[in-house]
Amino acid sequence: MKDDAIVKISDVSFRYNGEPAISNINLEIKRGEFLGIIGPNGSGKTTLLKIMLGLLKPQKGYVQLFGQDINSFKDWSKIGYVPQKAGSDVTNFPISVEEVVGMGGADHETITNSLVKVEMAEHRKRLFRELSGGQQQRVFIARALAPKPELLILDEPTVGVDINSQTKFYQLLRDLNRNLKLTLALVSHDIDVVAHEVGEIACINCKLVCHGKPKDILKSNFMEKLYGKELRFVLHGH
Amino acid sequence: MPEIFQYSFMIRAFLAGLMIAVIAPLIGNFLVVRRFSLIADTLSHIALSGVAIGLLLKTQPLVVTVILTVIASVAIEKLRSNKKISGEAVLAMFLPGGLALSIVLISLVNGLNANLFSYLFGSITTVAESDLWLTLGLGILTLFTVIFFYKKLLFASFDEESAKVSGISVGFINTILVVLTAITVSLSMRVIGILLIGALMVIPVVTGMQLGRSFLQSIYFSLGFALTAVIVGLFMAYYLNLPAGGTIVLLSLGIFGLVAFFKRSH
Repeated sequence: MKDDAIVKISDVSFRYNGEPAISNINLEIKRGEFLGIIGPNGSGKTTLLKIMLGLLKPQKGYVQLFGQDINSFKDWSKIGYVPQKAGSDVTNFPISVEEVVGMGGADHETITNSLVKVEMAEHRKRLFRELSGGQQQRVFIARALAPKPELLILDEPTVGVDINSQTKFYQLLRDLNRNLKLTLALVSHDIDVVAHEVGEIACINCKLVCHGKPKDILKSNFMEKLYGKELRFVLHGH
Repeated sequence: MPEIFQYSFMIRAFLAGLMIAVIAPLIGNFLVVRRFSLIADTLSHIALSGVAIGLLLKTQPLVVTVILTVIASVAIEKLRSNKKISGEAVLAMFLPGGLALSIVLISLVNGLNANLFSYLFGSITTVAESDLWLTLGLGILTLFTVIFFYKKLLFASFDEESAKVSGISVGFINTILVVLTAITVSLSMRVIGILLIGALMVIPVVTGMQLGRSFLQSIYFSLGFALTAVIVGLFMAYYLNLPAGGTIVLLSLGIFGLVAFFKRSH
């Protein structure tokens, strides 16, 4: 039977200057899954994401992407990455929306199709810096979709985005997951929102604290272990 | 034919000037958005050491300068990319380092003679035929390298981490950019002058960014402004007997002022 785990993290540990950031983590992301990787600030979730993307090398353990060791993995077009924000100061960067989407090498038609998928086609000629936080995130998703990836990894995508735009944003992610059969992995510290949007949750606090369906995890006492005793969740369906 | 073009030195100055007016803002656009434009000034101080070595060894100063600035640019990028020292601090070390080396070497070539002075502030009468061919050759190479790597340069400038994830060798692309900067600085010193080249890599770019509705459009505007400043500047330098480098830089500032005024009033 074909192994449907497209990301396999096996016994991975990473230390910054001797301080453990993540320790002995085992985690799999299966094809078609919408996984939320959650944890408090400083819990190591961004470190884990960078290891998954090949930006950091684990000091212990190994990572497989699409069945291949990450060190020999070459087919990066299968993975789309949506950062929290651009690495540069966009306020001084006169770049248009279509230039952002096309910077990975996409042609005109692919740029258009990607912008249509995130409902940003009418903004293609605008300067990126003139967009709201939510619109900028949509443009980043369009850029990540351009090479037609199978896995989309998002790093705290809704930080600084207003609540109304957040709701639309998660609706877009659910559509991508269901309609385009995209596998999604989303890193966030905002458990209350993410738990109601994703299909699976992995809770990180240096170690993997829990992994499973949101409703099972929210009913258990894992969240108190992760965030402290004061946290309360309200479960609702979609 | 206008009188100005009856002199072969003026034709050489114009050809070299036009080439520089294209490549200096072209490279400058990528430096400004990265907030790394001070590298041009840093490399120009190192270029001065190259000139002094060239004069000391009685060889082609331009060739020595290109080699020295390219080596320095790679060293700067290596130090910057390992993240242990910030990019700004690396430049702050290399800039006085280059100047210090220049001062020591200049004292060995018996002080600041007229020849060395012309490298500092540029001189339209001193573009030799060999300088012109080297400028055109390396200038065209720079131009085509930017065209070839354009999208990768843009991606790495906008978002280094995402560029890495998409499979771009960001270290290689960044090294290309600093090497092209080193070449541009070296080629510009004859017409613009070592102390003024940083201005031509920044002022037309900042002016273009006031008007550009995309990165490519900003590049086109900056090229237009730089070409205008160089052409008008060289005419003024010839007919009014003004230093070319200083005139070109002042004209660039004048264009910036006009554009800023135009933008404010609309």
